[in-house]
Amino acid sequence: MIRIRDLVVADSAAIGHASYIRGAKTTFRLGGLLSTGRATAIRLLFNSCDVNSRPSAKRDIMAFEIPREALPLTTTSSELVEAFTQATRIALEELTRSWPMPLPAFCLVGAWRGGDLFASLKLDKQPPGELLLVIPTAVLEELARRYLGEEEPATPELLDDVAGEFANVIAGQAKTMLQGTPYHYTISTPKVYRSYPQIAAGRTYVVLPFEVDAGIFVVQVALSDGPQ
Amino acid sequence: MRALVIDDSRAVRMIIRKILQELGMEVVEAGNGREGVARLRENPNVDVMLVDWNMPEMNGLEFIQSIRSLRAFDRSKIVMVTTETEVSQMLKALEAGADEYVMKPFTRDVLIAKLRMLDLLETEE
Repeated sequence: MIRIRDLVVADSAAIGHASYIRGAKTTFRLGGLLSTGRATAIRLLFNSCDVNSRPSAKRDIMAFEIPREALPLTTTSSELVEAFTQATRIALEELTRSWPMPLPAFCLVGAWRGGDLFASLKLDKQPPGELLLVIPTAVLEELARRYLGEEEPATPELLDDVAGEFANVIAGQAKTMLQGTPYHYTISTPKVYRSYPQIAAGRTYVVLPFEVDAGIFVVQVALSDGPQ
Repeated sequence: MRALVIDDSRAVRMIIRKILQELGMEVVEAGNGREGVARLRENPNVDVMLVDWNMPEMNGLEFIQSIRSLRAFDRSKIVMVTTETEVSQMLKALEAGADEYVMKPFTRDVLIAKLRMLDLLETEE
């Protein structure tokens, strides 16, 4: 269970929209803010966390910040949000018995920068797309422990491998959901980076943040509705 | 009983290996189709191959096609274990010579059920 002690709202105008804290879960509504394109940054600071399954683990959980450059979702990007949200939930539930809660999604020219581990998967179609899973190492370590079992020591190589497999399964699930739509693609093999990967200039990503009991991770998708 | 597990993800190989070893199988591993062919040269007596689809160098479909063109492996069962979850892809794998198809994410029970369907394990009463 993660306890959120502070909710810092960088733009005071956002206070009216920003949410409520209910028990251990935080729910916040930013739809109104994002639909107006207001430059607003909201930072959730996780001052302390208490992961039920591993009470001794003090985690350095990534603060999630919606960048000022965030753009509202379009009608077409909503189709992607639905498919990749569902796909991420199915993948993480099945692989790690974790239940990701989607936080508000938004669009961004250039991918969201945060976290310290990046699993990238090329989504083959014309023009080519990309799925980029951004996950803090501490969150990945916890999810990898659930995926692989207690007895496997999580070496950096194995963690990279697990991040790649998570991206792979998410992309596979979403691909099936997008069958028959102009977004349909074929899957390549994942690449994992420990520093921010180079991305195509001007590419717009749909940014999908998720909260699990181990922390926050982000799935980003760049996919156009051009011919496959 | 000997199994060959071919997947570019070490984590996935580790999980499948653990399940198969618990079932008493000997497990050989490979990181892509080309390595899989090399492992088969070293260990031709393989009862079942569990093969991922999307891998570098030689993908799972190419591996199955190349293995099914050789009579030496006629009796070996092939299970495609993949994130490709569309029916059209499943049919493609079965046409290429796969005997069963397991969609990722999969559970231990699903994998065991598929092995039972292939008569590689005793059926539960």
